[in-house]
Amino acid sequence: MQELVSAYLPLASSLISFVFAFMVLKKWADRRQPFLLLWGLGFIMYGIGGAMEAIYGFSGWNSLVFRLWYLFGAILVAAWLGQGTVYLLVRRKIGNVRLAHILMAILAVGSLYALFKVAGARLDPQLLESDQLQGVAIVSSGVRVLTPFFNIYGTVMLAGGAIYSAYYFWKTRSAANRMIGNILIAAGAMMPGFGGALQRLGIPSVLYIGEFLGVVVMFIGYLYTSRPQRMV
Amino acid sequence: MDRNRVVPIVLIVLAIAAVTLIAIAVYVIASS
Repeated sequence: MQELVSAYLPLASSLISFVFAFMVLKKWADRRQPFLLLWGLGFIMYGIGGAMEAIYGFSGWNSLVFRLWYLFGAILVAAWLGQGTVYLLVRRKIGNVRLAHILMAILAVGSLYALFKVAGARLDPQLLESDQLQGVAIVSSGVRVLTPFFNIYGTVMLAGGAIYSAYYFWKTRSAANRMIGNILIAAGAMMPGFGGALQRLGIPSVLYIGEFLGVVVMFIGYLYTSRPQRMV
Repeated sequence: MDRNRVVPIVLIVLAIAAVTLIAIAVYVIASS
């Protein structure tokens, strides 16, 4: 039963994420819209995070598995998905440069810094309090503090963007499917965040459940937004 | 179910959830 939550559940999250990423990237290959590329990359990161959790659940500690999990699954995923939404919604320019490109450059530099910090972090698997991966295994300072910065950006952009879009489609009565889809994307986007917050408060198993439900709900939301449109 | 009533409530709940999540993250930064 324990293995069900600590290994099979993240395995399922990972597989769903990779299917999701494949669908989004296939669409990107046709349309070449930057938000699809960013979302595709974001869901590959989501999939890597889940895969690392599953590997740990099945076969135990490995520092590379932990570092990949923390970098992609804890730090980067939400911000990169949120950056996709920035490309979708933010049209503003500063001078001749799109604000989305400026934010992308900042995110890229921040991500490289996070890669550098996570790669060099000292780890202690003895600090893990359960059979699931947790940030507490990081001993070095200045690593875990990065996570909320990236996740604030990710939450504001991904969940905030989806809430804004749902409101827009509700107010204009222009596309019921996109309104419902964005409500589901906003709800799903926040589930791993609440899981992570509860994990920090001492309820570790909620993270994996939040990640699983999050990707399922976002996937359903994405499929809704992609359906042929009809009026409310 | 009247969608015109339900949708704004759902959106407000989602917005409150997002603000809560951001507040938790700010708290984590401030307390570390």
